[in-house]
Amino acid sequence: MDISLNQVEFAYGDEDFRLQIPELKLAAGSHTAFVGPSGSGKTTLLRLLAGITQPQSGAIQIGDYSLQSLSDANRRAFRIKHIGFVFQDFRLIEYLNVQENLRLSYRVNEALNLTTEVNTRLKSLANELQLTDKLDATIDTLSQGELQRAAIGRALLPKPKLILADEPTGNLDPSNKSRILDLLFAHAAANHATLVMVTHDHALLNRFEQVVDFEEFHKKESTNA
Amino acid sequence: MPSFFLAWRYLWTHPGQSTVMVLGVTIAFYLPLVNHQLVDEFDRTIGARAASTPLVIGPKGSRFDLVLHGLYFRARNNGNVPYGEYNKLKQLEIGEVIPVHSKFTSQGYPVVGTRKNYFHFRNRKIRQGKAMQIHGDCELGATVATKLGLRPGDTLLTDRENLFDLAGEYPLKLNITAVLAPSGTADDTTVFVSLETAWIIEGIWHGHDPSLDHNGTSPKLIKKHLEITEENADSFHSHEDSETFPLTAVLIRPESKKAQALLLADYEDHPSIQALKSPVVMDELMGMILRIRDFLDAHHSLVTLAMGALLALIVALTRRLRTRELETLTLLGCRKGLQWTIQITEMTIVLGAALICAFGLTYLTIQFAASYLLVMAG
Repeated sequence: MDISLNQVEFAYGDEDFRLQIPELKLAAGSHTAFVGPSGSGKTTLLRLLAGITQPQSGAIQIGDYSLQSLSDANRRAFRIKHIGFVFQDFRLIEYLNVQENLRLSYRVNEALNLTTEVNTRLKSLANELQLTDKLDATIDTLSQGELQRAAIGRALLPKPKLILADEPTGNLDPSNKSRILDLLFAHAAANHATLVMVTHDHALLNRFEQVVDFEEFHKKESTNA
Repeated sequence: MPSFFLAWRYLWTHPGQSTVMVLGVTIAFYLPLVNHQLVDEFDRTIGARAASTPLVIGPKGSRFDLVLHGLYFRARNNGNVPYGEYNKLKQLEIGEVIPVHSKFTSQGYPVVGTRKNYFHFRNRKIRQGKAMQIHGDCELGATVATKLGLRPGDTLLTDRENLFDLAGEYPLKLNITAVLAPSGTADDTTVFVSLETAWIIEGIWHGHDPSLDHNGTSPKLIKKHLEITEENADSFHSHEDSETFPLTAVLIRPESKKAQALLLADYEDHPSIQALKSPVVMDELMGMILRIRDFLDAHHSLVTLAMGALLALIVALTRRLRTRELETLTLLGCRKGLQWTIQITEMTIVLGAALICAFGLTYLTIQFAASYLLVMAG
């Protein structure tokens, strides 16, 4: 999915924070990294791209969808259908086990059908994420790395066209970081999905085709990264 | 059924919280339920016994005491009905007339002197043993036999009225000849004897035991109780006029409403005896119990209201505690409506489980505790 932002402005009501993006384009199937200091708006932009929050002004076009013109219900439907979001803080449900967490999007959305094929894919994905032995484990028994991988698994299971990952390698050791990146890239390639990832790890940047530096972005105020 | 699945998983993985909620709601349901069921059962049981004994005749005094005494052998009567009054009623041939003498106890259970027609009147059957034959024999109610571990062939002493009255009546050793089948009524907790045996206990009848003096007392205080055997049974007698022998009540089942009305009219102006319609008196008594029930109902309504408010508070606080989880569901595309449905389903499961527990507990209470409580009522 091609992504383009034009004259997007977003501010939180009672804070000084203000995000201004005059123009930003990400090609379909591309791999983009967002880098920059904490509080520079990386996560905010991911939430804008996911349609979770709405900009005060400007246009966000994702594929054929113009997010600002969609109703809340349609933006929700768009998110369910096309977006896989890996949250920085995992956001796994503590009273569900790992496989129930992976299937959660299917449980709570009528638009997603929990078929045998999905369950087969879940097992394959769990194998790739080295979570096969943990499928029945409760969340409170998982290590940080396992929590991270479970959160990635939940985002990838519905085969999204746009993968938004907020520091998915933040809690992993170097070898696991590389494996997770391989997995994200492989899934993006297999589904011709666009991958946008927030990271603080500059060692990983050479693997991305496009890097958006939010610090520089903010300095320039209105230039394309 | 995603809402049921998620609700169930939440409750299952929070057993402490879920158990407390279910227990709280169970109590809120159980108390009024069991209260209603017990009172209804009580009403039905005492109504049935009162209906089967339309008239009770006894000494003037408290109406409640007389009916409770005549039907359940519990309240004590102050005064007697002369045996001659019973004979007079019998000669009228107005229906079934049953004499009752209930002044003494044995191991705390009432000892009731009556005639054999009482057992026919109440349709009581012998479960074990044979009917009493001679003075000193007794038939035990099923509960008495079970609680005291007694059976036919065993003996049972009557309780001494006053431990320090050395010149008073001696306890009588009763020979158990039968145990009655359980009836779920006051008869289960009664020791039945013949009228003559009751009068022996009272000291009106006496026998001539070689070790006792003519008055049935031992000058040397060797014997601690009286005992009637086949050898001395025929020696028991009284020197008083049998028409004056005391009864504590007479139960009557008139053969017609007219007979009942005439009998009531006969005793309307009697100086020392009253005739009472037991269903009417028991209805009055039940009215008092129902007023207490109404009060308890109001009390339970408040408890239920408080429990409802507490549950609402729990839901509100839980929503605050679960803000992050609910936000995650929103981020995953879950509708707000479904999130509410999940929480409502959780409450429904709690209420359902509590209702099942409350009904189960009520059933068990009625089955077990009620049988104990209602023996007196039956």
